[in-house]
Amino acid sequence: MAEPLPPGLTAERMAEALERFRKIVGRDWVFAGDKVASYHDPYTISNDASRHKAHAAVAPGSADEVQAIVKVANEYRVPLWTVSRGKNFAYGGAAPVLSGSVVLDLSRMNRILEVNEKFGYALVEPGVSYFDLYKYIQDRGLKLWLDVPDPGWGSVVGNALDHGVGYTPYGDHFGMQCGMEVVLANGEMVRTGMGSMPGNNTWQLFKYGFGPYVDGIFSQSNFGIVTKMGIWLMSEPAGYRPYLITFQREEDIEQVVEAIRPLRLNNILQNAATIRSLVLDAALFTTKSQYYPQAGPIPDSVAKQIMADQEIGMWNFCGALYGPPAITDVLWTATRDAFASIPGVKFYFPEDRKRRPDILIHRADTMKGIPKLTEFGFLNWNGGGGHVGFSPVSPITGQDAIKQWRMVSGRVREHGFDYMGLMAVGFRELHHVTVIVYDQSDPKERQKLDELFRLMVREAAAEGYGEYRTHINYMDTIAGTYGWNNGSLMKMHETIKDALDPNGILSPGKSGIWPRHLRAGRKS
Amino acid sequence: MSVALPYALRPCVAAIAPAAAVPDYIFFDDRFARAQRLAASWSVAEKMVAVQGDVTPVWTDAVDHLTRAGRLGLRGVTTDSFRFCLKILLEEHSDLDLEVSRLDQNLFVWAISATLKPNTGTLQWLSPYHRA
Repeated sequence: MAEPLPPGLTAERMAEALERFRKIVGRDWVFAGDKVASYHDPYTISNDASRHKAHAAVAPGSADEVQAIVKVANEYRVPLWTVSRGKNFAYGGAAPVLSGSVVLDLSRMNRILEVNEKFGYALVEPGVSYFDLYKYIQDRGLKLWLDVPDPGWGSVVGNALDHGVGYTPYGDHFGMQCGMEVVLANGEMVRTGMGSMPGNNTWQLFKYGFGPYVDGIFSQSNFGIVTKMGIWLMSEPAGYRPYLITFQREEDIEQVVEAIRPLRLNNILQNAATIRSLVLDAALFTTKSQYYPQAGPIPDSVAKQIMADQEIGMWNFCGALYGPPAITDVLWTATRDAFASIPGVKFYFPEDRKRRPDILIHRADTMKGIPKLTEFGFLNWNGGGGHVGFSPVSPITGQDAIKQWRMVSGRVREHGFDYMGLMAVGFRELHHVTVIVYDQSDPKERQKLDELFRLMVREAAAEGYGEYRTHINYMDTIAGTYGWNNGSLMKMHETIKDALDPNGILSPGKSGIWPRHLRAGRKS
Repeated sequence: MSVALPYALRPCVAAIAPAAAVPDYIFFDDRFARAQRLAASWSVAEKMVAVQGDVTPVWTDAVDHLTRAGRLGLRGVTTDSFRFCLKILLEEHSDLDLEVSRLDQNLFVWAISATLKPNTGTLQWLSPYHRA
């Protein structure tokens, strides 16, 4: 089947544009035909095979080549869908929102330009993965720790730009970025913050420079192409003490979250810790059929069996303490005391865990910034491999946590799936991420998932809960829930879009932001 | 054919045999007796590697380096996530021939033939620490 074309572009004009791209990057770095398949969403949700299909891909090796590509794209009106490494598989991978787009694959731009141990930062290109940066630091024996998301193959730049989270005290990745280089849609290059001052030496040290702080408009957006980014790194602490606290009842989530809030606000809880549900943790190392070879969510009796077998709870709070023992001992006492009154609570350190593999042993690596792919184990729970993340944000209150859990777990189970959720503790909020694992080979299951997802978005929005990130299939839907004051925020986004990218060549549809010529009829 | 995404599930286990008739390594998920039996029937015990679903240690300790050497034949009876992650990692450096068949609810039988991409020889695709 021929690859789709974007609206308004003929096959002949697209072929001409691709030939121009080949002259810029070399023939080996423009991918068409069979080679485009690796840019498809491996966990596609829609049963419409024509959706989210790239026409081709181009992989520049430098920011200069990016500049040249966008100039050609403007000339031919070719939509470019930018990906750093394209490994964000729960949200669409490298696939574009708009079919017919040419994927601008930045994975060849993988230079680690600087790692500064003295000041604790790195300056990297978008193709640098967490595995890459970790190995670079380890090979040189630098006393720095990364903060990693669950899949270690992702882009350091891409994850921060997509507001990804990790699990050390540096878990807010966009919050830890400092200084960008951006290629605008007209091909002009800008550096943000202190980077705009010639000869300045604080580009990766001070975010704001002088004047408006613009870095945020290049995150989850289509206003420019980030070609370099600074990221702050944590100095290796004098001590590290990961822990697991388990809770026996699902309803305990209310009391657990109430205990967490003061710990977090007072920095007793230092890291972006997570409260993880039973099935999410169990699914990393076992499969559903090993316990319950039937359709539908597992019953309570099976849940209790899993808890006993794996020494985990209905909720499992994975956190860590960082610093010299004199400090972490005090922090641990305060942490333990905060949860001690919850009936059935159990406290573990790694030396208490004898099973292998084990959730705390695994998470202890992640909470010290070791990149891994272990979390993909949950895809095997049903055997079918597909997954999508539903990610509403909540205040850190027990009332909100249990309300969200009831809403989401209820709907998920009604639709025949197991609830696999976690609540990641931010500075003032919880990211409630529910992973729905489905059989991607079954069109009926994909349809059921799609109906469930849209229902949950509507119900969450009705209660004032918004998603912080989403799959390409739902970007318009989620954007539509941020509609206060007659959609004034989206109007502002569109004004910026039209000013910076009048031809609409950069990532049409990203976060629901469409260029002027593609807006009609797309409002949710 | 290079790169096989999206793959087509095939009904017959025997159909996967030719792509990696002489695999360099065989991976089997030792949590499942059926995987152990099937891998054992392939009769190349010295090449067998027991795994438990997570590709991370296999990749970072061995396969990442092995695949840079040129052609690599791998075969496995594992969960889908192991196969999927291995494929995604391999295809950064290699052209792949992939065949996969679902054995049961939990297990997939697969064969991957990975050939280093010609333009990877410039090391341009690799990260700076590989060039150091």
